[in-house]
Amino acid sequence: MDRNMFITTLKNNFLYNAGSELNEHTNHYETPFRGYDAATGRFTGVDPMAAKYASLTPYNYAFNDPVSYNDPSGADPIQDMLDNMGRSRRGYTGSSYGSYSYYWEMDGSGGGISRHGNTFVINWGAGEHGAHWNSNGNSFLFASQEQALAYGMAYQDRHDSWEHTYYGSEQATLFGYFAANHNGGTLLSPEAVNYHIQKYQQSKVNSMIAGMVSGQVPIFNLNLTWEIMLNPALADYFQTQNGGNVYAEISNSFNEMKYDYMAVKNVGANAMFNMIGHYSVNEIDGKYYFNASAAGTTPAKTQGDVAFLGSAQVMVNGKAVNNNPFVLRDGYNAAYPSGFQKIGAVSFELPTSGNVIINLNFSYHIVFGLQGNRHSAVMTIPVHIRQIGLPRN
Amino acid sequence: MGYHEIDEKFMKHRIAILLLSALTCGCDQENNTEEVDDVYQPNPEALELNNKAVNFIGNAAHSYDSIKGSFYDSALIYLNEALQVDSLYITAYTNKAQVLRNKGQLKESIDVLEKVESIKPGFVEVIMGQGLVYEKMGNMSQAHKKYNEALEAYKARLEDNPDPVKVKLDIAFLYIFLEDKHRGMNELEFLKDEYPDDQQIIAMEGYLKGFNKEEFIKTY
Repeated sequence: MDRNMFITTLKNNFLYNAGSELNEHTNHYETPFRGYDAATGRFTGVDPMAAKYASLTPYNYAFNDPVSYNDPSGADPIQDMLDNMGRSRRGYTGSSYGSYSYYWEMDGSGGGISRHGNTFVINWGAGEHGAHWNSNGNSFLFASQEQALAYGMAYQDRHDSWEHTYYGSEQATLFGYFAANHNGGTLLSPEAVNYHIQKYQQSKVNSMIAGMVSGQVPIFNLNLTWEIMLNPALADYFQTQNGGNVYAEISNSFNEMKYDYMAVKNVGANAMFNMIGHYSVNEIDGKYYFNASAAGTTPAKTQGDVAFLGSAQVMVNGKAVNNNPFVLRDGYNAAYPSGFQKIGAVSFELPTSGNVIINLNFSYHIVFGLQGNRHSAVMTIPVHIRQIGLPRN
Repeated sequence: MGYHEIDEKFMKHRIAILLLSALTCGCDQENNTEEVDDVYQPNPEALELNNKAVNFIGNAAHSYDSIKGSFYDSALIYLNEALQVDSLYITAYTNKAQVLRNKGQLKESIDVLEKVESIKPGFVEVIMGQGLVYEKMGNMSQAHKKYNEALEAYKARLEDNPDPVKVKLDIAFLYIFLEDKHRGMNELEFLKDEYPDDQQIIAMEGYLKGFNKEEFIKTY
């Protein structure tokens, strides 16, 4: 078809990038997140990712370099990275932190996004100006794995954590985008996105920077919860928020011992620990909630200061979709025998579809004076939630 | 499981734990004396790195299976760094051995414990730990070799110990792994004869009776 003829015979409001529609009232192209004024080459709204790319004007587009970087959604070149997975691209996230920049690349072994089954891995490279690295050469390459790992550790120490740098401000958008890409094109609700942010924070991905070496190039690996976003069970979960599983209301106690052996003088088999507690499933206004509380003890506590931890992992169709920590809140007053240390309670809404199992995970830390702390065994107590009906819808 | 059974189990565990705690409490003074003798002040930087690693280990316990490995890898980075700073830091070694064991790198875990043994010969809990890992690997001959070494080390510790009950209870536990649970229970009987009023021994007896070695090794 002759394109010019098409344009003259049928008014096309979708001339701008990626099908963005022209708003005839404002004469701006509407991207999903903000308007774009083709005449000035500027968006008319603040970049929702402005906090991340603080070194650039908040009205910037694709790092002010539309030749090299495309930004069809108007929000984040990283979205392009997701959209164009497999296409050769590269860019950077700005230089908000002194002399440091963070580079991503898709066209080499040094970074970008890679997919391993249902896991998407974003590999962020880090390097200094004038000595940064990339897969195209003229770069600072680490001479050894040890050097790369040491560099990564120093990097983390300097910048406190990923969460407190730019990642903290972009989580919602990234998760929203990701959900849109893999949830039939429908953005998740704010509640759903928030759910994932909480999960993201809980998993402390920010501190999960593992040094890796691909060839001689270090990768700071963030294989965060995006795997979970791709989980069909999870998508199913969100799609059935208005109906779903019907659960039997239950109320049970547990009392489990985990035997362990710790190679510490005068501890040995005393590393075992005992968790007691209670869990229940209750319906409130048509929604089902899982509630639990617990307390623990161990003979090893006479050798050091002990702190117990607990979490409830939600398994849907055999896949972990959420972790909920036990926390001590104001007003928590569950009674336990003396000698048992309370770890608080957990309460959350149960998934509305899929076969659900809750794994209660418990562990403890022990601190031996000046000699540093140590972590002991993990106890997992599977709780089979009885589903008594098919999903309502 | 009914409430009655739960309550009964609960009470049994509770009594066992409390009595074992009392047992260890009874040894506090002796332990403290030993700790003074054994105390090692690690390099502060190494201590900090070790503790960072422990946080990763703790987080791994409450994370998704798919990312546990990354937590353990991060812990190893810090532990290796700690050991570069302070190569005599036993706690960092034993933590590293634990991480490697959790990652399924059993041989590497044993190698790390061997390193501890070279630093502190006769460290009976470390020798015992090696035996447990060997057994987990299915290498029973090496496991028994280590258990026998541990037995000798416990006996040596017994000679210098003014309150032998804790050590003797450890020995009774060890006999289970020497495939002689009967001997372990007999040791407890001897202890009961020797210390008829010691409730902690009775508690350990209950503990050992309910102990499942295969399950223990599987989850160790």
